[in-house]
Amino acid sequence: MPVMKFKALLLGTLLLSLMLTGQALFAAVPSHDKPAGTVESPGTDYWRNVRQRPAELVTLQKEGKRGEVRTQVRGIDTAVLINEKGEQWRQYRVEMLIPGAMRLLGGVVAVLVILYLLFGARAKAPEDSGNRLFRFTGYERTMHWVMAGAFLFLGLTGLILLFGRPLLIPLLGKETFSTIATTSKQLHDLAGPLFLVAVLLFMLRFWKRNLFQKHDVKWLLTAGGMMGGAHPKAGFFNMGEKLLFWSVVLFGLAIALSGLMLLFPNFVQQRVPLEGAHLAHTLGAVALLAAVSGHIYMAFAVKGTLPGMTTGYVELNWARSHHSEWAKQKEETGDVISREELERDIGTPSTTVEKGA
Amino acid sequence: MARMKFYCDAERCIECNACITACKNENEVPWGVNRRRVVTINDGEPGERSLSVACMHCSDAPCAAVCPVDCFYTTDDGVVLHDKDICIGCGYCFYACPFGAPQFPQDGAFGTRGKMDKCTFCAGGPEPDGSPEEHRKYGSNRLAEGKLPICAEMCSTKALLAGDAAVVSDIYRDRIIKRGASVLDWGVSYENASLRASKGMSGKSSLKR
Repeated sequence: MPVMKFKALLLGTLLLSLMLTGQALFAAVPSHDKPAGTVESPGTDYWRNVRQRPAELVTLQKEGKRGEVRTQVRGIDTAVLINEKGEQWRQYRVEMLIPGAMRLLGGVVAVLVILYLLFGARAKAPEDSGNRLFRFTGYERTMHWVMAGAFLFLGLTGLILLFGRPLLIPLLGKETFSTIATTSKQLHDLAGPLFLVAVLLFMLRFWKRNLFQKHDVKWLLTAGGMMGGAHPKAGFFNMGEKLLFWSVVLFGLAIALSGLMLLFPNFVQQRVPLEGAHLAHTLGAVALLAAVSGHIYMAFAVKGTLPGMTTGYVELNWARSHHSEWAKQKEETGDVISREELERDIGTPSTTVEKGA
Repeated sequence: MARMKFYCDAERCIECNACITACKNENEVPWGVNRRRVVTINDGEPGERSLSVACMHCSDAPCAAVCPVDCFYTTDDGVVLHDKDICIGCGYCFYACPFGAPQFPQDGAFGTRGKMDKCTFCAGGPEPDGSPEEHRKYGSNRLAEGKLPICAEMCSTKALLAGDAAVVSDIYRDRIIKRGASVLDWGVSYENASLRASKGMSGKSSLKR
């Protein structure tokens, strides 16, 4: 029994002392979770506020309740001590954009090349009915090729600047690549505004024909006839072309307008809007390059498509299967021209030579 | 091998802007370019502090990471320099730099950027040391002459320190020990903060009185 009593006493004392010391420890720890015995330097908080600029401090500074940050040196963002967005922008460009864009664009091009070799190269145009439909006017074709040329040129020079460091410098060396990069940058800057004008004119010309219609949903669900066999209904433009048109408008304008910001650093000079412009410019460009790669693939893989944009005329059977509603309408109004008639009017390269000889 | 660093002691900087003037004079910096600037925080308030900022010659420099033409290099002394013959004036280093160090002279219409210019730690560029080419593009190469950057050498309050990181941090550590870390705490003066007299110091210590 005395042993039990002793044990209970010991346990009680232990518990009591634990409670007391626990309380003492708790009291010693300051309200913010710092180890006991740490003396907080007010200087630490001061400089932490300068570096991290919490929102409430910025508001206080704007309202003039706290002293302002000033400098006598005139220039861009000179009164900003730490550029906090710079690190996020570096991570975006170096760790996300360059490897991501390389994987995406490389992957898209590889898949399209494989698809072309498997299916596109073997695809045949529908049987020639001997009749033609007029599809694109000379102005429309010129607009298309001016925009396409400007876009591909801007894409090439832009990709040189984006991937040059990992891909071209190891091959060419820094000096040679610097010359190429300078040329690319200058020409990119010059061709940019041309693209903006082309996109605007192109949009004005084609937006009405690219409004979505009811039958476009079915086109989308069957992926343009790739799933389900028969070609779904389509008007002057099918859903694939409409989606490409609106991504050209959306991304194209985003690229062109952010490009203007980057092009004229005398209008917008601060780093944060320029970093945002670079973000929009690169994301838009990569997305549009991927979409346009698909467009170029379709132009070559679907036989009978390309003449519409080169000569302006398409074959009737091709139009019946790919743009059924438009072909029906054209046939009803009697806008069908026979091949012979067409060759007499505009001449194909081969007949022109024969006539000359 | 030495690793060169700047350190600006905010307890000492009096915002006289002489470092900027000296830098411009020594390096013949073009118009519109400031390799160094003094920023004052809480201007006109108790606790106002000033700092002289330029390129901090980062060990893992973000400017070098984002440069599309890879024109940056780090010297054996840990100084981050760039090659103006390779630079294309894209401005990416300016977006990425935390300290706003890269500067661009206007070159042509609509504010087009010229070749980037920044603090070289008075160490010139890739051209041969002391050559007229190097001086024209990058300014002085004082490091090659065994001297430190002019901004720090002439700083009247010795707020701006430049040199081997180990030496700079020793000097700063000594200052901290002498004046105490908590001088920003309003009410704790330099006198009260001084905990003990150090050798060769007179008139500054509270124990001395």
